[in-house]
Amino acid sequence: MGGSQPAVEMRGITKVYPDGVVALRDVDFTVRKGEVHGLLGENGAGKTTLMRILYGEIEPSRGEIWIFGRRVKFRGPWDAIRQGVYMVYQQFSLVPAFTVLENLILASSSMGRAKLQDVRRKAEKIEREIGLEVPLNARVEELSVGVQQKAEILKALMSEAKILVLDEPTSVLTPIEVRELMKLLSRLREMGITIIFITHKLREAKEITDRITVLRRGRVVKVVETRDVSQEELAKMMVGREITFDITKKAAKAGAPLLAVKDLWVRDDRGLMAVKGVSFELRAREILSIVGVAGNGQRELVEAIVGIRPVEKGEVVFSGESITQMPPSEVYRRGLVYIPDSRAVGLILDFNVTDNSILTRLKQFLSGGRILWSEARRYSSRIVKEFNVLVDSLRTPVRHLSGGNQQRLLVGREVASNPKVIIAAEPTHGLDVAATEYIRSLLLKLRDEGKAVLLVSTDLDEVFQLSDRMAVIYEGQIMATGRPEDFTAEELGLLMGGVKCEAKS
Amino acid sequence: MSAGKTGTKIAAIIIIIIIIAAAAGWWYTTTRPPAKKAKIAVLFDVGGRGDLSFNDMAWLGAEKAMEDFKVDVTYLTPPSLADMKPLLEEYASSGEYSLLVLIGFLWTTPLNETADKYPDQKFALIDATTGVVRPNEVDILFREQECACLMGIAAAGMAHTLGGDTVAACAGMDIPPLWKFHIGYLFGVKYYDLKMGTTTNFLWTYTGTFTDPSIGKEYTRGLLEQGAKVVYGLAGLTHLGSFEAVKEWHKTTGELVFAMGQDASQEWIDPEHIPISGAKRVDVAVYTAIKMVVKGPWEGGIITLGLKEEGVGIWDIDGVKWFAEQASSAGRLAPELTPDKVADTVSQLRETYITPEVWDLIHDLEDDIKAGRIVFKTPMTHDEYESIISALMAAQSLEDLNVALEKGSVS
Amino acid sequence: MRSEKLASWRLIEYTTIAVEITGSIALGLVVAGSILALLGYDPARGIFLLVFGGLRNPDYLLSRAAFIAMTALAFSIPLLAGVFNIGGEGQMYLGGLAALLAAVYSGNAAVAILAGGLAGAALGLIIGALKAYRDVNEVVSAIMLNLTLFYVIVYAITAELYDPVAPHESIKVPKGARLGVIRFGGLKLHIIFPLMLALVAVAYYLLYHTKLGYEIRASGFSPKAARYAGIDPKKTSVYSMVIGGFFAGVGGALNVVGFTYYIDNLLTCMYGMGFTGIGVALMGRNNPIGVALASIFFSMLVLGGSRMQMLMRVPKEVADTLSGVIIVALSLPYAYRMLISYIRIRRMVGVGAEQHS
Repeated sequence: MGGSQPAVEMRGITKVYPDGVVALRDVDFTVRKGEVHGLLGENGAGKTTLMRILYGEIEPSRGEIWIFGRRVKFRGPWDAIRQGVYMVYQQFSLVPAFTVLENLILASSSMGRAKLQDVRRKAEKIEREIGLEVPLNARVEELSVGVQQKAEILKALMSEAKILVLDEPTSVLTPIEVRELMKLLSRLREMGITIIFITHKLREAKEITDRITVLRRGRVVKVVETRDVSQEELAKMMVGREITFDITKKAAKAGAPLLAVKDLWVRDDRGLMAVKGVSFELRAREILSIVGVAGNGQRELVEAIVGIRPVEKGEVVFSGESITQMPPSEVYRRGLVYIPDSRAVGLILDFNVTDNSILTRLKQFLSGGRILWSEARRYSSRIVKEFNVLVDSLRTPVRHLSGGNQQRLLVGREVASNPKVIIAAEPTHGLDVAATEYIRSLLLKLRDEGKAVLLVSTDLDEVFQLSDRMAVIYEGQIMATGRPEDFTAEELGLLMGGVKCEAKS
Repeated sequence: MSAGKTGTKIAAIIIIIIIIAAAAGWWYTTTRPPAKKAKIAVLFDVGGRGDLSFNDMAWLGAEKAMEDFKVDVTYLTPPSLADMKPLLEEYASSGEYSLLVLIGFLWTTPLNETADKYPDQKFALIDATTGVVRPNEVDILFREQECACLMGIAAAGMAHTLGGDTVAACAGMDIPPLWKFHIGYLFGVKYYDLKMGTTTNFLWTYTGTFTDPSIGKEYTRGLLEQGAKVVYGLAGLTHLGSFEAVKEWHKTTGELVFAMGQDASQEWIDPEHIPISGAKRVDVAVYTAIKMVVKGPWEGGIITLGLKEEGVGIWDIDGVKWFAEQASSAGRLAPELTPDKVADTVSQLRETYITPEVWDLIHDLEDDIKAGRIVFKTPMTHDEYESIISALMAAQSLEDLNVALEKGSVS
Repeated sequence: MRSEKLASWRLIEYTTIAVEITGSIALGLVVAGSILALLGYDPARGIFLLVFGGLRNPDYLLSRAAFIAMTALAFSIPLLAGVFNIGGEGQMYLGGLAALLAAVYSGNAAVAILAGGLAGAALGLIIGALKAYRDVNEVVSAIMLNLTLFYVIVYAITAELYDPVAPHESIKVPKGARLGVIRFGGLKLHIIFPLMLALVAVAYYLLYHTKLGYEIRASGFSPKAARYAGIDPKKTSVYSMVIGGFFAGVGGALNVVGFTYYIDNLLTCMYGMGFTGIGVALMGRNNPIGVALASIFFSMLVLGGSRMQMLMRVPKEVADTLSGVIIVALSLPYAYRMLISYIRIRRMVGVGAEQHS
């Protein structure tokens, strides 16, 4: 096809979901052949939706798609792959129990018969050409996330992808893996492959892309040449205003220790040791952050603390009493509450607001075995009022609430019981700026009221903004503990990637 | 809670529909044109029509009555036993039907609980009895022994023609109707032995089920391994497995063996291996009941149908062909067969393997029974049943056979 | 924009349900009518008789609904906890047998019903515990138990409990242990119907006003959220099976002690009613009140089918097919939505898990 033709041209794309939510509004999106094009936007801006439309996974309500100058209408991803478009999700499409080679065969056999030796030869050739190192005979589940991602990219190249879409590819990687990915992407660009890079991270966007399309609330804000803009300008376009982290944080005056974890060992769902001898102490009036790349034992750690997950070894002491292996409802009752990282876990989406308001406090609303609904409704309306949850009725199933309102309800429910310690896991994940600010200020306010907060987060901005102290976790072990100002970004990156620099505390 | 509210909305919608429906139903049922002819209802067993046996035969009798007496016959298959009593009450209370014909023993208790409440409604219970004599109820039973004994002679005759000396039966459950078959069948075999001077081994087995062909197949294979040449199927669906076992035995060992069916003509299922079937003429029973109502005289109580009334017997070639035709139109006949072919094959088998002497014996015994010279008494208890069987087994003369039958308490 | 959406969700929800139900009924009737027309029967008369013919005999209609409602609850309560109870059939058989024996030995209807319920509950416990603690698929174990129980009970009735006067029937429930009928002037009504309404009310109260009901629904909608809240979803699923089994067992008991007063040796008095309950449960949207109404509607179809046979000489098979078409049409949208939301929850929880793996 002609070199002047853009690789991708999407015109007037509009997507309205059946429930009336407009995800995209008249979006024009053009990617030149052979460039790395950033698709930048906050969570919920419509980046992934736009790319899933390109990939044939979602049908647009309106609009046209042109690939290399040809009008296309994909019926599904298989159609897109045949036309050279390949999308790598955050969640990889590899069979964990298969080897990399078997996964490649699986992918190619869906396009006709594939011979083992042919596939191997082709894979090895591609690996040589672009200097990709993926062990073909290793089982996928044994590989690190970074290598799995490479295997996924290899799979894309095997299917002769001309256009590669990467959805937040760095969110699951360590800083070192991120650097490797960037190198790999430059090589692919040299080979003439067009790359669409979905991200909300300014630094990465600035570093790797040639041009950037900024999306906000389903509309294109601007298309820019990367070298012409600064990170600050990008941030402004993305958020719609200057990012002012104007949450003022008073100096910490840590009080008495409230929660102590001593040499805790916990297994994950597969039975592997996920937390290996973690110890820390949390005091009143402080926010302690557990920082790390996702999947390094954070979830297992907090679940073991509140009693959802069995403890292999070690002790959890709360207010001077051991609460190790206590049932969760009892732990919550004593004043240690937990806000899980997923709203689908913290709330029952098919239950209504009142039902959800008593989820973790059922015992308080019982008389005999009977639920006292009138009291539950009173409690529920208190939460709704106090935490500004926007609902039309307490009978509304929580599913119909926006993410921000769900999170307000979830956090509100846990905080309304006046706990001593709050464990908050990814409390602002997927929220818009307003809701994020609300939650963060709330956590600070709670700290100032004398409560202790254990924040588990992968969002470094959040961690730096809120923490009084932070602990870096890597493969179930605490690598270092210290005050935020004790770490440089570089050091933190190394620690999170498992590299110990000179000993910190 | 939200689910609860949703339920209420659905409730409202459904209730409205029901109310409208009820009104419409009232209007509809009260404006129906009245019927002219005498109406008769046949209430089937839970299985209903299409069984190519009991229920279909009942319908055959009803159709014949419809033609002969110009009555209007309709039918119904109850969904389950729990429905029998309310349905029976519904039809009895409507007063629309001159006769309700109930097919099969499942109706016994529902009828017992209904009959007295509707003294003006006539009932006929086929192949079962409530044990109570009522002026408005007639129970029609069959003297199965009279058919089974003829089958016994045929079986013994065929076994010897095939070069063997063992006959067998694959029976359902150890219950009174099967006791009658056991006695009759054994009587026939002994009658043959005493007349022909042979000794025939007699095998009788209860499978414990009427509904499981795989069990029937298993049991029948066991019988064949013991040397049985002819196996009499007396277990409903279970003995369909016997037919299969017989066919397979012939195929694998090369040794020809036969099966015999019962109630309906079952030759069409495998005419090369089923030369003969015992007949239980439910059609005759239904026809008889309808005739009693239309032509009279009606008299409550128990009627038994035997050889004399043509209520039981051996299916003749016309009967065999009729059932093959039914099977053919229901699509159940093997594709390579036609009703004519079935009839031809069966009559050839009968000619080859049931010798004229055997037919003579059969006709002699038939005459004796019809003339009342031999009467089968029915056992009331399991003990009576066992004592009749052991007396028959030990019989040394025809006289002994008759003595054995006397041990029954119901004639 | 947000508040607009919030205000209208309820309208959308109810409109959807109303459209679903009317659409389903219309579709079911059109398909059923076409089948009739194709077979050469008068479709209007056939459909009319099928749907409304059963109203002629209200007592029969409502009594029949009574035990079907029980097996429907036996399916829907475990389903709310996320367990598929296909074993309602076997639980009903065993409940019926236990009730018969208890009635014979105690001479008391209440004891008999309780015995039936407990027998069913015990069976539910076995299936539920195998599922929760030994990971035995509940559908497989239930189907195997259904079959085994069928034969065991057939044997028990044929060989041990038969009535010497009518050997294909079991011994009868003694007069003193029978639940009879109530009469209002010329009308009569079997006691089992008001009893069923009371039991449905109990089920509703249990599900929506008690701790256990809350936990059952929470575990069914989201086992992960339940675990987070300190509810043991496995234990809860076992409880739900015990309760489901109890209702199925009571269904068998109501049948035997309140309607037929004996069991026949082929179990035709109960055969298939457990499976019927599944369709009725779906038709009733798994809600006790919906189940009660659906069971009545289902009875209408069964009785109407009989009317249609009688008056139009439509074969039983055709009548059953038509009822089936209508039931499937009524259950489909709900079954579909249930499936979709199940997948959606799994996906959401899965994405949540993805953050940490």
